[in-house]
Amino acid sequence: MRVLVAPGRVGDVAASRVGEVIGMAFHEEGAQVAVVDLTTPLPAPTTLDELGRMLDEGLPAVDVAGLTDALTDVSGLRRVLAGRTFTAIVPDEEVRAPLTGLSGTAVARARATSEDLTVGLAADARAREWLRMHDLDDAPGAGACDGLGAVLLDAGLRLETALGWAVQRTRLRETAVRADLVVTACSDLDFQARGGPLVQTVVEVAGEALRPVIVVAGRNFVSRRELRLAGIEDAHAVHAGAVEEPVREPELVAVASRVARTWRFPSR
Amino acid sequence: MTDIKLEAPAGVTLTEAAVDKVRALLEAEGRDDLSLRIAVQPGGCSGLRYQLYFDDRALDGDVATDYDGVKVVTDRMSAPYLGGASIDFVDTIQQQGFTIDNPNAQGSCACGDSFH
Repeated sequence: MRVLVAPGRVGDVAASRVGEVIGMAFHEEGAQVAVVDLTTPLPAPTTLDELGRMLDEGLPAVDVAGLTDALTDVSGLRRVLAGRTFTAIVPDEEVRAPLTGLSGTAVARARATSEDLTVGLAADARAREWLRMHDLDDAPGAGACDGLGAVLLDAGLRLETALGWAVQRTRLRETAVRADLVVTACSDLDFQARGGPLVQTVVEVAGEALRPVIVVAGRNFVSRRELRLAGIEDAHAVHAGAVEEPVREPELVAVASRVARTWRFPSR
Repeated sequence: MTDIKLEAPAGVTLTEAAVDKVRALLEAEGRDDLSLRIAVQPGGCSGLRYQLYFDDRALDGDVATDYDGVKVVTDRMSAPYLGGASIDFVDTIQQQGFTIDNPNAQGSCACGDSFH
């Protein structure tokens, strides 16, 4: 049996360690296991000099969320970006967000400070002027990181989320197709968040590969029927009910062992 | 938020019932310097929600329509989402208040407060 393990954090147990625990449990049951860490942090420069050094090293992806100060030196930023090819990682909710307009990030940030219509309108006007001043176009993603997305798109660069990049970097889709079972993990599995973006992504990838996916959770609040509706074959929780205690690794190990024993595929 | 049509705004129209009600409310306020402002704001369970209130401000870029002294204004950010929208006032057993019929909206939530 071939098992793909692509977990998130479970309580205080980091994703990488969760992957090791679950992977080892299946390995001990005789499965071939591939453990993928979708949470590896990316290089995250905060200055143009740092960005330049990272790009000189040939890094394929850089988390640009900390570079908003660089917007005070758009010319300098453009010089650093000139001729470069890399994937710019931006916050999930901003990867397709424009800068201006009702759904733009300029208005969204203004509304975080005040519900007053004039505050949003003023922020939008300033954003439009900023784009005009730097000869930039608004477009999906241009609003990422307060307009940094517009400069990046103008430089011909691609914007991506950290999770989207991790899926590509780890070839998760190709690996899922070769697996018999996909296992992911999260702290809480509930009906609204459905385990969060990582679990939802893994479930989607498993679904595309037509592979069953199960979730190891710190707590599970979703019934079997609703799990199936969400594309999840089954969920196994460390704690029953709404227990507030943190998940400890020995408890996770015990659940992982039990989960690994419950899944069997005929030998090929 | 799903895509909605953003055609050239044709302005917001008020039905006769809505005009009469707004005029009555303004008279009750004792003011003739207020406009009925309709704004679209992000939020609500369907992505966007309407705000309808009296406003004494005239903002840059406001799109204004006058109904025999009753002025309806929309700000320049909201206007593309409201072109062709119609405001009515109903007073029945089932429903009382202003209603907004917006051809740009592709759907709304069950509570009726939010649209997309």
